[in-house]
Amino acid sequence: MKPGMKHGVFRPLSGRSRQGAGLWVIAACLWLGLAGCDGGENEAFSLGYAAYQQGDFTAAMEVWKPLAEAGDARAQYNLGMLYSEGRGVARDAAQAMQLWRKAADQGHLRARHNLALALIAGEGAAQDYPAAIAELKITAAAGFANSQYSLGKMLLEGLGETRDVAAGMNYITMAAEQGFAKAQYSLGKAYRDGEVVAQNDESAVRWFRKAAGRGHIGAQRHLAFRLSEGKGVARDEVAALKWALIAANQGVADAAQLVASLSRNLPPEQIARAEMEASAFRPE
Amino acid sequence: MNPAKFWLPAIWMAASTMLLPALSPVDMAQAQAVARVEAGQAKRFIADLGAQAINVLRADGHTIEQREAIFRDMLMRKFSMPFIGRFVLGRYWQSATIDQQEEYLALFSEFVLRNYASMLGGYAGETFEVLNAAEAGKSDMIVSSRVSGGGREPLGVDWRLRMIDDQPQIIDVSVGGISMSITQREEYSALVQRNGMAGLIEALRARTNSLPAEGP
Repeated sequence: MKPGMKHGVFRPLSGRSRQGAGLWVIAACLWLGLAGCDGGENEAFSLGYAAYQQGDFTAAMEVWKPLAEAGDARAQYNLGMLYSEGRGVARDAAQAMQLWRKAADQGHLRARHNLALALIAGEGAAQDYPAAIAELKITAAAGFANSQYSLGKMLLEGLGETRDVAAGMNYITMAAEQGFAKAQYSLGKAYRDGEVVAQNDESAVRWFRKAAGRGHIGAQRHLAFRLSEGKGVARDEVAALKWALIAANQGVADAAQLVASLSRNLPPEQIARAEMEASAFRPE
Repeated sequence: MNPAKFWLPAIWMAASTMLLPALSPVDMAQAQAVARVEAGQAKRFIADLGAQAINVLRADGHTIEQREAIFRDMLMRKFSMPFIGRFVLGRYWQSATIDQQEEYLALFSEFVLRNYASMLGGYAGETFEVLNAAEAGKSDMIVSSRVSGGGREPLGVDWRLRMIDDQPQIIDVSVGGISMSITQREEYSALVQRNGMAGLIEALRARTNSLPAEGP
């Protein structure tokens, strides 16, 4: 593209008419009283979500805001997302925190999770590790893998509570067993290092492989090197090249070096096979 | 709406981008030995970024979360995250353990890419326009661009490019003349002083582990 040429970067507005319908539904519900308007609220919420998916955040906000003010926890949560990320509105972490608090008080667990993370990062309120841990314990117990992972890391680091390696590893394992790639990668590193669990190269590779399959770049890199060295797994240079190619294509510098090194030693047909498998790879 | 207030938190406010090389003497010394990105190549590089953004962000059949994930993968190849991440961490890089360095860089990259993807993921009707390119320091090229429409006043975005491993890479972005890297450096320094590297890493983990918007 020549300098000065313009690209239309973003999707055109396409949900205005539906948005208008959504606002009408909300207005009618509020005018008539909320009783009996559940269907209308759900429809309006859905219209807001459709606008959000189209990248029309202003329209999503216009639909969700009155719902949130009327006490809809889902709308409070999603509106909090818009404020937190500055989509369709100036970024306002404090406003996001307030909305998530309101939703969490109604039992909305996603809101409670994000509230906990805001307390860890100190966004929208003063940093408060103990309060964050208290919230994460609720959402982790409800089965949220993201919460289990964050809580596990906090406990392993001793942030907000006395360091508790056993509990921390337990939470991370729970998240990993649900397929949460970052937790799987953490377990791989834990077994590799042997500091918080007994060192075990085979277990390290097993978790690296799971995380790699889910698209974790660090795990893909580690798996490539392990396969090329035969450490914790049978040596397999074709598989090593496949994972090195996948990692290198995402900008991992030493994976690119491994690609060069392996490619010097492998016959062309094996290189071609690794390249084909790498290009066919899609994260689970 | 104040455009600066709208944009800056998403892509890291900072002091002038011209300070960047002055704060990185080692990298500057290394950079003297490599060629500068040529002006035309630099403009094409950034123009391609805009064009690819259109393709990705207009892709049908994907959720916004999927579109932004694709966009993040694309951005990752354009940015030198190791360079930016190390610069932002400053002197604390050397005192971090190898594991901390690795975890920090992974989380930092994800945080940056999330910010950019969400910044560019919405705002119907906006346009992206490459304006010009100018040499900066001994090794860099700055491409000026403008984002306009979408209900906001036009905003200047400058992209600082450097040749790294024989490839042009973005090493800083400035919005309204304000560099993201330098403010981030100040913020992270404060976080490390308060809670150590573990605290900084947890803050980054928190910023990258939130759940997405809820559907019907």
